Amino acid sequence: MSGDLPLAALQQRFCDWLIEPDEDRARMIAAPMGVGPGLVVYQNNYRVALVEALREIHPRAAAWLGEDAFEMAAARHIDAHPPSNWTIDAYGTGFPDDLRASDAVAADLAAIDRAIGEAFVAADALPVTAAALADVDWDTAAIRPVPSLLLVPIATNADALWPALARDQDVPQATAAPGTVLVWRQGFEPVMRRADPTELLILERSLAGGSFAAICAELAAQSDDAEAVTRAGTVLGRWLGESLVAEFA
Amino acid sequence: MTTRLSGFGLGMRRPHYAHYVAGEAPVDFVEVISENFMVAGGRPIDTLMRARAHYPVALHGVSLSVGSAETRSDDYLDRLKALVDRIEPAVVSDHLCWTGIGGFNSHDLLPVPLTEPALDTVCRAIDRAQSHLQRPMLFENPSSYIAFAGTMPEWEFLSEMVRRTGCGLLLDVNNIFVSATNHGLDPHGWLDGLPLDAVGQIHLAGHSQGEHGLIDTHDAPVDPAVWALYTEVIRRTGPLPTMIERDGNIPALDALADELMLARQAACAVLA
Repeated sequence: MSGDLPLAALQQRFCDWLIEPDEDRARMIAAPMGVGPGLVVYQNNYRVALVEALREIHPRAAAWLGEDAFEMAAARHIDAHPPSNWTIDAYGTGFPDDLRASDAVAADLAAIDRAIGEAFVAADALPVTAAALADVDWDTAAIRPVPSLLLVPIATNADALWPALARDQDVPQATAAPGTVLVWRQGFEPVMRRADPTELLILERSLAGGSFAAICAELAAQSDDAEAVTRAGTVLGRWLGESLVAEFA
Repeated sequence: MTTRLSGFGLGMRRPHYAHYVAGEAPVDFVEVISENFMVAGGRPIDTLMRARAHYPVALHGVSLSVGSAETRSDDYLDRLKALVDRIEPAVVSDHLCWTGIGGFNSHDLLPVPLTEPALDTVCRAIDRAQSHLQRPMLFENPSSYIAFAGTMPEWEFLSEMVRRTGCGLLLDVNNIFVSATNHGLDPHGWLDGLPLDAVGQIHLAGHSQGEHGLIDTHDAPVDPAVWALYTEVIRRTGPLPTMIERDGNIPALDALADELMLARQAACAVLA
């Protein structure tokens, strides 16, 4: 009788069985609750929904792995990481890391997939344009990137493979190519590209609150290069053209 | 301004977004899954706002989890409230179900044991949600694949839920057919016990035959037996806003519009 079991205890048993569907756990539900064979429908619904969510969130990683390998990886992830967020769109934050041990390309593709999805629904922001530069106090100004910007560390040339997979084109040879991919949104469209070392440093310092003047001074000191500050200015100009800057704070 | 829901609608799904944004879909209203639009920004919100310019919107949630012994977070309710304030929907609904406990969320509509303690839990959660949103909600009768021993009939549970909370019912006619069939009951008799005067919206959908009974899959046209049950509902209630949900094997919008025409014709025939 389900009435003999407090609701919280009954529901905990049900969840334990969804997560680890062995026969003992099934009996723990069926015996006191008198439920029938339809119980298995909930187990199937639970797993199918999560596999489909992982596929939808990581479409290029799924395409790279192929159907069987993706489903095996998804099943392993579901067993190890039961969902906890109220939205299924947040499921699988650790999926790229799970893939890394067996397939670094798949892991990088999954990380890019995930960042593209997050950028797609990130907060809106009106990017600043070059016209706004005249009013900036360059002694103190710090660059604030658009809220959709994500930095994705990768170990391979997945950033070159991703567009080919997305367009169903011939996929380039996979190689080791450590770096960082920038993912953000221009208007409603997520975009991505690999960051060069100078702009990555500027970006990391900016995200930490550093002023653009202090970052330029650091670049000049590091490189003994008279062109360092010029390169920083070039980076900033590129970012303005790419709708990557939300404001100068 | 909030608009009343009436007529015949469809679940607004991604393959057909362009038609809704352009105002080209032959529907009287649209329904969307609330959680898909409880996001910070980007195209989803813009798409919904543009569709909203053409059609009244019903927000249909899947994660309120009113049947859980664990209270849903304020964060969820705050996000839902923000969406409601922005969209000004004609209807806000969710399901009589629970989705998880103890920090686990199954993302499935799990069956509530239809007991007095569970009824207390459900009513508290509905009161809290309606208070947070400052408006009454509709709650959908679920498809069920198991029946807990020693519990009350679903229609009795729903009647008491409506009486205690003032919420309305989102009557899913396919779910009645699926549940009644799975539990060896007469779906037409099921209607006798329901508080039909509390029904604010009707769902129609397709189901499939599983190994252990019927499954609410939303991946096929509405079954003839469900159309017959819908006709009986309308005969008893009069006209109610009615829509078709389709989430798998989604056909062209024209095909769904043709299927929706069957609902219009069934309602017209009964009410003529």
